[in-house]
Amino acid sequence: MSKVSRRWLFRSAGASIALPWLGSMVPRSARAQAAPPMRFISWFTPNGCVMSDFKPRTDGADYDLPPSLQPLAPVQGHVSVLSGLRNAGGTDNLPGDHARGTASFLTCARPVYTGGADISVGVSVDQRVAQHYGSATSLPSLELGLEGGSNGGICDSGYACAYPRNISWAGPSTPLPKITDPSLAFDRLFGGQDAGVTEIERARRRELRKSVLDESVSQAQSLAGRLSMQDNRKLDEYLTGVRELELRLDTFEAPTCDPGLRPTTPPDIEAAAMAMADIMVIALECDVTRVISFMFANGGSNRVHDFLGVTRAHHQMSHHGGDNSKLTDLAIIDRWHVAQFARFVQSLANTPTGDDRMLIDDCLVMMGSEISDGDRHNHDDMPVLLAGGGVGHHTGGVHRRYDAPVANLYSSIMMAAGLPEEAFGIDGTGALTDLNS
Amino acid sequence: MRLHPTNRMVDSPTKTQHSGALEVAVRASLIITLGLIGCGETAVIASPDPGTVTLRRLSRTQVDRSLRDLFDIGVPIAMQLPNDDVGNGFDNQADVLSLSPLHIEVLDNIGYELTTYHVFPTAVPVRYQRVEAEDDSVTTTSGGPGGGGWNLYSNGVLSTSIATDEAGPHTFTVQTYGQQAGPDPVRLRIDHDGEDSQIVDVDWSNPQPLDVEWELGRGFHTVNVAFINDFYIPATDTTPSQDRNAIIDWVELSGPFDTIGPTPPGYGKVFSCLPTPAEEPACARSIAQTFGTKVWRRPLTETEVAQLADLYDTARESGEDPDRAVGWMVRSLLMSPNFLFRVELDPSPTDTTPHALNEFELATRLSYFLWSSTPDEQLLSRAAEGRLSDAEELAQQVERMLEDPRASALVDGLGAQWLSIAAIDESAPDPDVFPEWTEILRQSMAEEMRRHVQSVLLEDRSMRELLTSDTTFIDSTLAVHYGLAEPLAEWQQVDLSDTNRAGLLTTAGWLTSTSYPERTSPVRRGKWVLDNLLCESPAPPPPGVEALGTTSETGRPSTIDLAAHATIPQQQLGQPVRDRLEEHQTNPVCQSCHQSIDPIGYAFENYDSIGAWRNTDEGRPVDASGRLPDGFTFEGSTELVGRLSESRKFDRCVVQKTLTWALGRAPGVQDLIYLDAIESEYAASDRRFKALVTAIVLSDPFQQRRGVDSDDTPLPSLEVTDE
Repeated sequence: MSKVSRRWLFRSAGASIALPWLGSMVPRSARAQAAPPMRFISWFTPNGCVMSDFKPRTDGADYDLPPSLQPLAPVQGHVSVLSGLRNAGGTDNLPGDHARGTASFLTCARPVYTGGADISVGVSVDQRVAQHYGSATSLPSLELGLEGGSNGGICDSGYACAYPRNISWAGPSTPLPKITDPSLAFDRLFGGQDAGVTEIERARRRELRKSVLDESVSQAQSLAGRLSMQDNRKLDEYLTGVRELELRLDTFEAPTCDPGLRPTTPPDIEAAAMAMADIMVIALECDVTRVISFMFANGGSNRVHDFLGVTRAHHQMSHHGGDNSKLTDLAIIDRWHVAQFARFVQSLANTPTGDDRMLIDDCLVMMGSEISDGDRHNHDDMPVLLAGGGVGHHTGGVHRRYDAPVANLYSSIMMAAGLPEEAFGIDGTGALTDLNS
Repeated sequence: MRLHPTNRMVDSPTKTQHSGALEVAVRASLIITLGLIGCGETAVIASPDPGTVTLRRLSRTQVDRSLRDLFDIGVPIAMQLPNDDVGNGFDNQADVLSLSPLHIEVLDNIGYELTTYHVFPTAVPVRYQRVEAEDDSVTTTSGGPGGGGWNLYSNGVLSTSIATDEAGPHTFTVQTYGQQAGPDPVRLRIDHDGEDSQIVDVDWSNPQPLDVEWELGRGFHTVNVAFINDFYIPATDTTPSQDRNAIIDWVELSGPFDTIGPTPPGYGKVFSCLPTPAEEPACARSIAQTFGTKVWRRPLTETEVAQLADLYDTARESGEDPDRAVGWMVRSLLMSPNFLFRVELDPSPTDTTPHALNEFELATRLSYFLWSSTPDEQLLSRAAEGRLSDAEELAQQVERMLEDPRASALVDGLGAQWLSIAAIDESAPDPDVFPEWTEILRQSMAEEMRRHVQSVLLEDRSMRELLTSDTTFIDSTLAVHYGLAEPLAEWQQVDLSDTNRAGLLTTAGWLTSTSYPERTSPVRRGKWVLDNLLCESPAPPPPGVEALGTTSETGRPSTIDLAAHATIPQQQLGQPVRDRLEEHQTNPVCQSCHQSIDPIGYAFENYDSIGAWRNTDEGRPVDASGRLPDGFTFEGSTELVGRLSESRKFDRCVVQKTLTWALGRAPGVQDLIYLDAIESEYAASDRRFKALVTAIVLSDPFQQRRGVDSDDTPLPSLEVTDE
């Protein structure tokens, strides 16, 4: 842990000292509403886990912490381990489990086998929640990641690259690309081009930007009548984007909390992971968004974690064939992912959100992977962690054993957001009922 | 459509008719689909069809290169856009280039950055450079540390050197105080470079800043602070000593203040006239039309110009000066669907009659094909003059464009993506097995491949030389890796004729990117050749196939990916790779595919996982011989590569890949007649890349388009698998 921001140290120090400026950091909405809103954060890690080092042996409260989960010790009271969950969307009689597992990670749908033209999977649970919340916050959702992916495009066994590179899907054919540079993410949240200008100047620019968008819409509309149906679908994507930006300009208000300094481009992956986690906490506490998805890497990623002393590439090594040295190295990576997760949970637990509550009480933070075991490529008994109180919908600190689709967890998450119960995805049967027991 | 993989083979170079199962089947389906009369070998298509291509969004690379050319900037301003998805092996495929709200948001931001930093001059940022007096970089002729800084206790000079980035007004600050004694206060002489010398009394006794103002040029400056009135009376029995000293805590140079930087070249690109009061409305309209034509790649209509002029007026009314109001028109041009999409229109969107593109649409296709960028002024003016419908003119334009430095986009796009040059970035050789592997070696490998591809494509060599060239490019890192003499320049083209290497498939980069971390993979190498050089993607292993010799914990027929399929069971470690793949040739289920795949890979077994030459594998002599399903036998890579390079399937594959790049869509069965025609032009001109490009540019699918009928189902594409 060489590069830790000052802000992070403060959060992670364990103490939630009420600083004078915290009053202004209480989100507008939290003040205005009776019940605080649930915030949903999903974290994705690639290539599965070494399950023997991940799955607790004891059930219920005070579960034992196997080697990969040991970083959870300081926050164990917030974190449940959910074992025995499966995802039918990832399975098929074809190769390409990484692509399928990633595309189905939050959709619980089976992606259409295609190299591009007709990608289709399903709407992801985070987007269902974001669509339900609508424009309550200036950004309906935020998609972040640490790996973009080269354009050369070796995607998984004939599956379009969109599948293993995206977990958030606004529509069955609309993956939401993620931001992989913390400074760009910061700009997106806190209005980069208007930072530091007066309210009058900001208003003036907003009107001109809206005039620009009006012209774009009118140009698109004059094209629409002259294009074929398939071309109009592309134009619709464009118009949707323009309208969303218009909406953002209308609803944008200068952040009521202190976003801190714009992060610089991090020197390495560990610093980037921390900077992204930092941004997520700021985004949540400033109530800029209530839905975030985050990918440590793309599905089947081949990252080299040399800063952990692991010099073999992740995906290739994940086909461990039972080789002990590979299993050892894989578990080191799993543990690092869990440590980042634990640090994030800790900082949510250290962040007050008004009314004697901490941010963690309102969040549901889920972490999982596209497969279970790297060698078997199975989609049952997936590694799943769930943290946070979810506004009373989840009790942490319990190892819960299931034999159920992960889609049922997503039904519960949607209910915690205020949606009615439904069977989610292709294999869901309804909500898990015991999450807060 | 996936064809059964048996009968796949490298065809004989002497055959001139279609013989592969693929094309026969395709032709059969063509006849069925189109209801044509005729037989496979001589199918005549009743109504030639240039095909349809979805409205193309500019890819991230295309936006970036377009903006570089439009504004003459050198920074990759569009790389903040999200990554594009890849289809048919390329990042410029119309159907796959989707658009999310994030794109629009980023595009808006790009417009902001361009108009803020790359069109108008900006204030030079003020830089503050502070140097502590005790710092090693400071020289002094007297005194010593003390008093919270440097104590000049006798007359002497403290000097240091500070650089300025830009010329302009600067402030030099000395944090100082005096230990006062005698009749006068401490007196300092301050100058830079011996100039602007100033004498200042320091009549205070606690650290305070002392500012002097200088007009400085750009570069290094020596700043001097001299103590010039030392005073000392030693103590006597009755009086204490009197000692006057100057203490310097730190010095700081700040500036330049109120300095505007140079005008960026983008200003000249946008402002074809100056909006002076007398000319203002006319000039604004003129810029809208002139710069708008460049951004939208076609002249603007009256209505469009009027719309932009309205925006200009709105900006003026809100208080912007004329220059900045033009900036808002530029933002509007960039935000428009007419910039972001390559709009091509049909007389009616549902009219399926083929028609020629208009000249501007054609100029646009041409420039994005060859440059991944916007048409330059010459192309636009040829289009305006109506000269691009002339085949001779078009051929000349192709020639000119391929010689332009912008043609490097073909190497970085078509070449790099088709030949997987970027795949080397994903390689991760096991450092325990290959301690000589370094990041520098990785970069050198990628650069060798890039230079090789560039040399074949843009120096108009025969495309066969892609595979057989007896020259390559090395730097000193690769010289060591290949055991060649140290190059004379950073990169040098060297003769390979007396070595065991020739062409792309013996570059260390290709050999590494097709290997596993610890070992070579004849299967990956063979499959890569089939996929990318012969355009025949083998089917994935059938359901239920386990990784060789392994069983899953549950005993279920687990699904696999290719890497899992290739996992080598523990008990076979220590055997040569070739021996481990024995089951591929003995098990009939495996053999049906692997008889085509593996032998190609065997040919390269003399090159290890990072492309170094080897004579043995696991202690046993390497066997690089093989036999293709059609009976062709070879002793090693040279013979196999020679056969590949001369095969008709390689010719066809080169044509197919280049056409896919050019059109932004996968060729379909309706394109077979065009592929045939382009291929014969290409083959007739000794397989030069320029001839291929020219034949494509002159072909109907490139020059024409048609609308889409509401019940127009797309014809099957020739390439199905995409890896």
